Amino acid sequence: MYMTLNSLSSKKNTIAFSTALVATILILLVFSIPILGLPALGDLLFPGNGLWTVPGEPESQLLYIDGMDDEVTVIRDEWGIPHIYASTDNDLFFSQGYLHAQDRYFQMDLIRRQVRGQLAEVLGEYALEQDKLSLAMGMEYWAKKTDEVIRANYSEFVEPLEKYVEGINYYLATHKNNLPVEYQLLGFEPKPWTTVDTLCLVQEMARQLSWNYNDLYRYSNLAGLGNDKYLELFNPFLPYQIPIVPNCSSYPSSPIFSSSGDSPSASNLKASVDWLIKGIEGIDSEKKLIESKLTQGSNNWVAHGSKTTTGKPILCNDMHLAWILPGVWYEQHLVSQEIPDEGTNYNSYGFAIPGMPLIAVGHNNYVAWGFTNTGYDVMDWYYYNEKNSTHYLYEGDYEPFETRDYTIKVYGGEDVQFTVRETKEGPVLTDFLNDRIPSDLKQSDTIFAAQWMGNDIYLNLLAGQDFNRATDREDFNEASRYWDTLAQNIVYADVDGNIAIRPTGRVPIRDDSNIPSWHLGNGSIPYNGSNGEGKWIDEVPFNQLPNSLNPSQGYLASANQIAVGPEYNFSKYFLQNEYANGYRARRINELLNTTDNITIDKMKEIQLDINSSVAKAFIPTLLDVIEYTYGTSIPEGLNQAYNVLKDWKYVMDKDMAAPTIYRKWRDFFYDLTFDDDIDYYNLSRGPQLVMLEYLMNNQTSHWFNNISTGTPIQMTRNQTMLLAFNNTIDWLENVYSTDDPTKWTWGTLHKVKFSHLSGLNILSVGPLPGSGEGYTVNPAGAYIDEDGGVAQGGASERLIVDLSDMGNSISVIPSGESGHPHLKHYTDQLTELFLKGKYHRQYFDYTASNFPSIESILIFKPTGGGF
Amino acid sequence: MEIEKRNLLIGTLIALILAALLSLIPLWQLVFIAGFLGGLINKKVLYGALSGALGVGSFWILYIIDGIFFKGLYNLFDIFGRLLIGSGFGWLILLLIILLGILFGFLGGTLGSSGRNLFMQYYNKRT
Repeated sequence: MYMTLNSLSSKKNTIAFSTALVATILILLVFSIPILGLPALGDLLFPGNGLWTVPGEPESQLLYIDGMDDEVTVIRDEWGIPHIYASTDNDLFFSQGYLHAQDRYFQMDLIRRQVRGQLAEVLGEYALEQDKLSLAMGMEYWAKKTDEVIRANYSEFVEPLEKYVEGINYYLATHKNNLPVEYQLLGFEPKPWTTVDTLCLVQEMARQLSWNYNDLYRYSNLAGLGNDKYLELFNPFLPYQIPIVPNCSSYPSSPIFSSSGDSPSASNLKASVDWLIKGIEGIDSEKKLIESKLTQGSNNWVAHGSKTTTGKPILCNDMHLAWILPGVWYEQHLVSQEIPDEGTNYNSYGFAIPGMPLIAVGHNNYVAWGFTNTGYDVMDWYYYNEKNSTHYLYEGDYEPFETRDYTIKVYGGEDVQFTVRETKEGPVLTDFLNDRIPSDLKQSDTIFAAQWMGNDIYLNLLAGQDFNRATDREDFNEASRYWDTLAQNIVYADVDGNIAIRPTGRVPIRDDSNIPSWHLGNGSIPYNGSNGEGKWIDEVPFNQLPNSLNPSQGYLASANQIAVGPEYNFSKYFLQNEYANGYRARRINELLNTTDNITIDKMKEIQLDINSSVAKAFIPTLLDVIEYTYGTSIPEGLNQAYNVLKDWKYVMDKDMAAPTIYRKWRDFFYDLTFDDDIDYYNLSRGPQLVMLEYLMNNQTSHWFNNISTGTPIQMTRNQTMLLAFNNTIDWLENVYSTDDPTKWTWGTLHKVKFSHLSGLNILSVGPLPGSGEGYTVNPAGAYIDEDGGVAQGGASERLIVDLSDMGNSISVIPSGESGHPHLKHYTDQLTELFLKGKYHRQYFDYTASNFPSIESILIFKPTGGGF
Repeated sequence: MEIEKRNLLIGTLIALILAALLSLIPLWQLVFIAGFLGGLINKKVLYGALSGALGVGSFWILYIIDGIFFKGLYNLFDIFGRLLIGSGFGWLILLLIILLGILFGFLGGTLGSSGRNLFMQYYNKRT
């Protein structure tokens, strides 16, 4: 009996043990294997692992750190914005690095990897092509060279830079088990930061703002149209521009035509250019870069004390970049007590780029500054006859390529060897496109290389250092000399009452002496590199760049329009081939010109202005044409929409219907005017919108004719406008499923979206109904089709600086300080301020001892010794 | 009976404390050891399983409460819930985690208790 019971118990235990063992093994397997592109769920979800270990809200802390000079106090205000109060510069930059890593390390790491061609290492083969392109562009190469030059020649900057990097790496080393959620999801670990990584981020900004393919598109259009027609539509001097620098060079009321009459002969070059364009557009990063030109731009302006209520200048800046989460900018207040040999101690507030020390845009106690992109032409394309893989034709001889060899690590695959070939002008950009080019477009013996101002030593960070410590215009001007790559219209104001603007950066001077007669020169289209055309022989001297100080008009404004009139460009130095239509500039100038007693609130109104100067330019003519055509008997279908437009004041409000009618009508008018020409002449791009406004002056311009069938069908401006209006009404009735125009609200079609870097919708904000358009001062540009349109870029920061009392200055960013999606400061500024047109105060005039709004305090204390 | 109840309590405490200690090592698989050791002192397999389940489950509940209320991590699980299931399902992810914790403890406890009995039987047979 005992044996039987014992045997039964043993059996039960065996069954229980075996069952539990099998179940345990199964569970261990199920939760240890990555599925659905995610890491193993056990590693991600279970206590002590993954999501449970991500960084939390920054808490008040006291940290003892070897090697600090003195105690540093970091106060975070209610928006999580850190105010660093340090005794020495080294401590200041160490702290800044620590905070950037704490709040934004994944963002920094991803961009660093992109620039250095290291994305495939963590994302796999998908990113290989982009890595090759980045390496070919030479951004990492020149970052390393610049690092060497700074170490050899600018020793005073080396220590702050290294301290900044030490701060980042200190954070990483002490938080190895607290990786941001993105690392948990993607399954890789961060590598330490270096000074070269910081310099790579400068390159990335330069790439975003000045690397482009415009020369290729222009050539494609020139070859299609011939010179005369090309200059009618794509003239380098657009009509109605208000130059950034006033009183420097007059601006003509209509485009200047100076065609030689010759045109490019039919050749394989257009096929080669089209081949290159197709290949480039097939790469995600480049497609995004090309599309981003729709949203990129910026505004800055400054009013002199004579136009403000305070008697001192008020300076404003909003740089338009892609709306990403976390945002491009990191708001910060940097204070150090260390007095330098020149300038003042650091006490600056503004926007920094995570991964870079200093404040990029903002103010200190004495001066304020802001940026917009100049659009200076700092990049040219060259084509060559390739003899073989090692040599190319250059001025009658075969020159060997210089080469750079790379090993690209690929996640889940073999390492890839990649060689960049360089001509005398720059890297060959066609080497890695061969696999993606349609065979009918492939040109086996033509290669393209690009020469870019970013492919050189750059000292922008030194300029930034001196901007932060400038006390007057003289200091600031001297600092601006170091601002070389990434040319910007730098607006300036100081507490002495001065206002100024200087479109600043290195601009090449080309040798156009041996170009063919049809070539437009000035780096506008690709040069024949094999013939030695278009060599860069010098640079525009800093003192010769256009600039303005305290102009009589009492204000200065830039919105990516032309810097200076054609007279300067023809008699002195040619600066720009590409710049904005000028609609934002038109509106800003209109407002500043007609407003006195300007206050901070007035400046807010201007920054948030959604009044469309495009609509103001086009709609009155449309209404006139309708009235002229129909008199008082406008057909019912048109009359309702006509009435909506008639009472409209051009405000692109998301709740109004008139913006929808205007926008779709404008699209139809543009398409009816130019689509036939684009198809017929095989153009790669249409002309700028302002050219259509200019053509409206000519009722019978041949561009209104329809040539889609080859035989021109005569069309007048009025006929085109009316046809567009009819098409608009049909289109909107169909899209909105109602013929009541008052229901066609703009926000239904036009959305805004703020996307996470990864593109994951769950980490993004929007799409939300949005006001404005691409050409309003407060921009939100989008293509609109039946599914609507989503603006994904616009103001990346808003800054208003009161030079009479810096403590009154206000700002906001369209994100939050934190890059961690689960924390409250991830999107707090976006949702609570930016989307509501609000700003926050900067607490610039407080110290660590009297700070009024403390969320947390981090104190670093020295323990002695070195790092 | 008293001894069995006492062992259930002790086993639960052992499992809870070990689950807490082992959570400091970022290797979730170790949680089975907590359940196993909690179950080991229980002769009854059911009590062993309960020790593991209660010990590990309790610790995971406390851990999750701390994460949600004191570290603000609910948002993160809500995001993850949206990624896997749909909007507003963060709580479901957390509930599943707790249930899995109880299951892991249960299995560990079962292994501990039944393993102990098998070992003892084998040991007794030998002696």
